[in-house]
Amino acid sequence: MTNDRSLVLVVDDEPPIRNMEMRILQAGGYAVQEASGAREVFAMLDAGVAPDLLIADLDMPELSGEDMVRRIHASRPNLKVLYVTGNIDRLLDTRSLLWDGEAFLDKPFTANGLLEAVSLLLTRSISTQVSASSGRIS
Amino acid sequence: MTGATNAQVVHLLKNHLAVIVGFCDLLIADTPDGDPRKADLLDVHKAAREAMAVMPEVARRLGATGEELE
Repeated sequence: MTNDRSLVLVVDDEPPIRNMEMRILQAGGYAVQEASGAREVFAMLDAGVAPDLLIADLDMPELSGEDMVRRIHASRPNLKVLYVTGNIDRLLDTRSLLWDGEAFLDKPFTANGLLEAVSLLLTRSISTQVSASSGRIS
Repeated sequence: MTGATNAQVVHLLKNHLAVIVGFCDLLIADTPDGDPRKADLLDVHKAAREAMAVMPEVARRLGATGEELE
């Protein structure tokens, strides 16, 4: 498992989901910070936080994950993004192309599924779609 | 859940399952093989994984549309 202390910023309006993702990523050796929505993310980035990867829930009340990332990419086009969604089919119906450095992870996912998706994005510069996988953290 | 749409119900179920499976994975990884609670955790994990496997069918049957669930 990758353990390069890359910084991952987890953005989700649901605290249990956010906490679970953070715990898994910390167990996987990543540095992790969290935000509950777009406004908090923008403030963190303005304050100098420089994540290697952003994990964004697509369905957030303040601003959707995709709209939030679009605004961030205007000034940080190379920031890698893992979108987390409970409805990947609907999403891919409206968006068939993934940009370089983007991937989607379908909820619910396993701990290894999340770690594999993050590792793939951080180590490869290709567009990737990852489905939930089985197994345990090792 | 009064007034919730099918899509919202499916979204909620998936979020709850994600939390159960994710934390269960962490607990199993942190529990030594000799610990008697590990078998219980593995049962919870198995049930959650089976629920995960059923979710696409649940979503399909509900339609996961914007119609309100009765």
